Amino acid sequence: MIINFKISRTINVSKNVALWNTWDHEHLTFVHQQFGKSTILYEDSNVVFIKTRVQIPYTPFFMNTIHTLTRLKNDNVLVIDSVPFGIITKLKMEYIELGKSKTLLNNYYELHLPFIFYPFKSILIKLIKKWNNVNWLEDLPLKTRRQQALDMGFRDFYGNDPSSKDHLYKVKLPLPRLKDSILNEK
Amino acid sequence: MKEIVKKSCLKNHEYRFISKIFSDEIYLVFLDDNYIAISGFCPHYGGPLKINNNNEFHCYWHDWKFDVNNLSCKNYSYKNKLKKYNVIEKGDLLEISL
Repeated sequence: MIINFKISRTINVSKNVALWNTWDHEHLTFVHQQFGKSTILYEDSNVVFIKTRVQIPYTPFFMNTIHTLTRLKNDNVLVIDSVPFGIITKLKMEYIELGKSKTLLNNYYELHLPFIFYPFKSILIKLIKKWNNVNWLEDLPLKTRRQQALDMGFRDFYGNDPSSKDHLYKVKLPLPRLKDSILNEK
Repeated sequence: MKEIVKKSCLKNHEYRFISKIFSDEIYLVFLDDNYIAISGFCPHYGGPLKINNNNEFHCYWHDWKFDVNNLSCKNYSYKNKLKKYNVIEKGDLLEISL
């Protein structure tokens, strides 16, 4: 059984800042309450496979999941998560540039459910919408602050630099990180 | 170039403001009878540095921590130091310069 639904939002940041947030996997552990420790299993310039732990909604329990992101045409992103009980979530994230610092984000969800979950269909959609909203609110200050930092001359891995041209920031994948990043397998 | 800040601007021993003069966000703290001013942007990806309970400059975005004395990163192999501003006390005012 497949269930489709869509969530749309606009945000006052550039498309590249919105994309940065999506591809910045290091923040998952520290910013999002629903995520536990994450480790990258594989990544290249178009795809990443992350082993992570996510909290089961309304419970104190965490479960292991594989979280995958794939870069699509026009820098849109396909997120596929495999979670317990045979549930697979497929999410296409579409980024539409409305202005220099304004982006429309359309989330197209495709939920693949075993038939046994059919009676819980509306509850599951509600849960995912709530999950999406919590993540959105937790990410919001990161995106707006980063836009402000870049506009003021911030340069990644350097800091404030008025001569910087990073306000023209363009996401290059994978995002650079230190060799002792928590995402790297030890 | 100088920024002049009233000491009374500090609430709970800290004050964060945008400086047009330095085109930077300045984070000012009063710690161990000293005023310290740094760029408030974490050099990693620009998150907000803030004094934590262990007296470290901490960025919650990616858990980067910096020593308040030598301004070097304490928990990652990042070699640069935080950008610091000089602070001179003049009565009820603080004069901040590079």
